[in-house]
Amino acid sequence: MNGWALIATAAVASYVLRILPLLLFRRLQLRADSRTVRFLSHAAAGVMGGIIYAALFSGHLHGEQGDDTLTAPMVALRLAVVVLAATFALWRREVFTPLLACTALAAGALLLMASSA
Amino acid sequence: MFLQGCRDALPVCVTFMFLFSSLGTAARQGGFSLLQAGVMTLTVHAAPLQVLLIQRAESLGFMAVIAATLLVNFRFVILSSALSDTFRQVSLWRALLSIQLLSVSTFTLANARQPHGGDLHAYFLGSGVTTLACAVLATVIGHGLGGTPSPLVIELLSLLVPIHFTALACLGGLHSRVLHGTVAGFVLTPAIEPLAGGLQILLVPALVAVVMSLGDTVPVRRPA
Repeated sequence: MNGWALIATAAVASYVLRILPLLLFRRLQLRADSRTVRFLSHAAAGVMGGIIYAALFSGHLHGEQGDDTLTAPMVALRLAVVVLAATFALWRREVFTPLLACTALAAGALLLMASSA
Repeated sequence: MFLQGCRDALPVCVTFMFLFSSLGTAARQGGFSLLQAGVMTLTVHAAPLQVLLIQRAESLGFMAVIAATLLVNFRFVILSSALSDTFRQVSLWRALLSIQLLSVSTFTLANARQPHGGDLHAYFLGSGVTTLACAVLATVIGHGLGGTPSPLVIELLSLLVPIHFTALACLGGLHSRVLHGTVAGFVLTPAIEPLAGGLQILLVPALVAVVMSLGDTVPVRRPA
């Protein structure tokens, strides 16, 4: 499959996945506190959790087939960074500071691990 | 609200600059032109699927691309369904145009903004236009530079998305159902992935939603 055909196919399929539920739910009258809306909101939160896990440990975001080479210290570092980000965000109730602080801390820890290896 | 969306999207832009510039570099190495890389980000707008397309461009046929898109991007069905109430207020053609801006980041921003009220669609537009423009720009820059980042930088990049999404999930506070659902999804994914493989993308959200919906129906015991 050539590059443009590949891009066009994926683009159309992605767009259909985005628009179909909107078109479907436009025809249905649902209250914001209805069971269906709450079910979908819970499912969306579940998606988020799955993406965080995959990005941390499966390498899916970067296209690897699963990272079996993760060492125990690296797993601990990744988990610690996410827990720290959660704590920071719960405390500050904003995104930017936890993002900057945890990225800086992770960079420091990675440099330290690299220099001691 | 549009400008508020643009402002709130700035942390996402930091993440996207790193994520999509590395994707632009990968696209160049995978034989995609600058225009193709930019158009791919603009029209597909889903980093995990783009990586798959870039890495397997030679071997993917039409049906394989459709199947991969369904599997990797099925989350859009759930996110779009959850946002449908917001889009019901706008005309069909505006909904058709703006839904392309939907990503996990823009959904999470809009979802976190929901309790504050206001024109949520304008907010979604502001955050979506900002993040998509940033993603396209970063892809083009990454393609133009073409250098491979060091393993240390790759490791740091892989942490940006989870840090960012975790912070977004925590915006509602400790008792927020979004946070509870996110934690449940995080815990269930490694448990279900070995059993269901790629289908965990569908099963985990469904299971989280069923369990949490059951929890919603349990009456809360209040002190007399």
